[in-house]
Amino acid sequence: MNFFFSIKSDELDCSLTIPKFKNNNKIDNKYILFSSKIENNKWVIKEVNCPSNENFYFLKNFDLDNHKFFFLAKKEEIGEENVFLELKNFNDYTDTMPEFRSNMKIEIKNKGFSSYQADYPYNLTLKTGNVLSPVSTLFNKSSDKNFIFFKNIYFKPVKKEFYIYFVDVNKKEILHKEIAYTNQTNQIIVDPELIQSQNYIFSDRYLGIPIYVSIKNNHLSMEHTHPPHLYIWGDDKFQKVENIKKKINEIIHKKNSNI
Amino acid sequence: MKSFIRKIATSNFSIKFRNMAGLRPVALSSYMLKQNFTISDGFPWRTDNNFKTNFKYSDLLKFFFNKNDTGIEIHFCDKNNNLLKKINEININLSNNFLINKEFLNGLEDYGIFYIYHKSHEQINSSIRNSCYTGFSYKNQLESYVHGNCPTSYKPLNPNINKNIKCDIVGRSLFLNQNYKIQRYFENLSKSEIFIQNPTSKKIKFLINKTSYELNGKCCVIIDTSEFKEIEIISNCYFLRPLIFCYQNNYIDVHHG
Repeated sequence: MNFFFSIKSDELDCSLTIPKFKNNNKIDNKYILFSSKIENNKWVIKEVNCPSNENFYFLKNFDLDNHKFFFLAKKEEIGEENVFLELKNFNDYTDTMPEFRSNMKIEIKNKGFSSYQADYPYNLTLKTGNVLSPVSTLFNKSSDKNFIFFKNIYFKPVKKEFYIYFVDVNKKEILHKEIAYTNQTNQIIVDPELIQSQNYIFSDRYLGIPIYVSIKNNHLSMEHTHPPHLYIWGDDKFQKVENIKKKINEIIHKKNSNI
Repeated sequence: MKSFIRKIATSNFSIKFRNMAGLRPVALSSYMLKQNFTISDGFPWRTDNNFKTNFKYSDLLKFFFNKNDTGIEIHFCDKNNNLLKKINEININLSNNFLINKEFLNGLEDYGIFYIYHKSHEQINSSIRNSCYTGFSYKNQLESYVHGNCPTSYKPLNPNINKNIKCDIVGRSLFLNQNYKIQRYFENLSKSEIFIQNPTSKKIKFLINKTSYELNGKCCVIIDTSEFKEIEIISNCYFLRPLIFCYQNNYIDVHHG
């Protein structure tokens, strides 16, 4: 199943539109919208009351934050008990090919706007590891501002601190690091000096989805990067990516790393 | 015996037959492409109506395979799949960008598809798929970026082996049996368009909210969808996911449907 998330930022308004139908146009109206958020070290799941029409739920900026996410489920799948110690794969309603997607729109009021699908697959919540993603491909050095929003959802209801590193893969150097937390959308303001061909971000221990947002003259661009293994077709694709990640792990865990 | 049946079931002929008949179809067929191929998505470009297109791509061979004798070639085709221009680049960086404007295309203000192929004389045990990023700038403003969406064509990585370009990674049916409804509600927009490309080599048929269209192999079309709040595509192509251009006056949002 997929979860759907949002961005909360002082710079941007955000809205999230979640379809009730699958992309093959089949719909089961028993599936309704729920939210999930950590309270007292547990996942608390609540039915969402928000504007909707026959085919979509509409969540506005005030409904959203960087900690809560949403999903479709039947009432009986959640049950009477709405408190969970771990996230569950409640159903396969949103397991589709192409992916079942929502539409997360960010905007500067009456000016620029940009959309992204904002789906987070349940299977990704079960894994730990490293995200490796190029810094320069979705940014423009001349933009007024460049942000990375790093979304993590982890199946355990915990807020664990981890680092996101900016690494020069040619020189094998750490250039910068930022603190991030599990189970939230983490906002990173990116210094234009870090936007270089050889620079990559690398998350330590936790996975997530990096979303790149640029602002220039009130125009916006938002897009995510692919996981690197999608660029390789062959039996050794995961091994190839793992080898690169291993080398970067060696750089960031060097004892004399002083950043 | 099982492996023999599997071999037959996954042969090119069988996959084509299964797809045509709609019997356990294979939307994206990659069985044959696991070693020493360079696979390109079909990337839309626009120079019409005050658009420019910026392409950002990585040297995948250098990054993943530590190859140094790498290069790329990019083939630009118009909307009717006529080749307009080819460029070759060597000594590329890890990340690169390439601007497609009307000056680059000899004054052409139109749209079409381009493909990128990586080159190396050394063999690798895998194939690589370029699915990098195109940014669409409207009226000289900030580009709105999207990643590649659909693997479309391929050729051998070593340009000395075979120069032929092939496609038909995406399957096609005899019947209009593929229903794809875009999971977005189109509201508060001054205009919307969908960019549809045929990733197969043969003609496809499709309906956009019940209006009928045909598109020849590897051709593309931009359709104005401003009148619709919801968009449903029924086609005989197993992967026909459009690129969407939304406008609010001079601001644009480009994303995959």
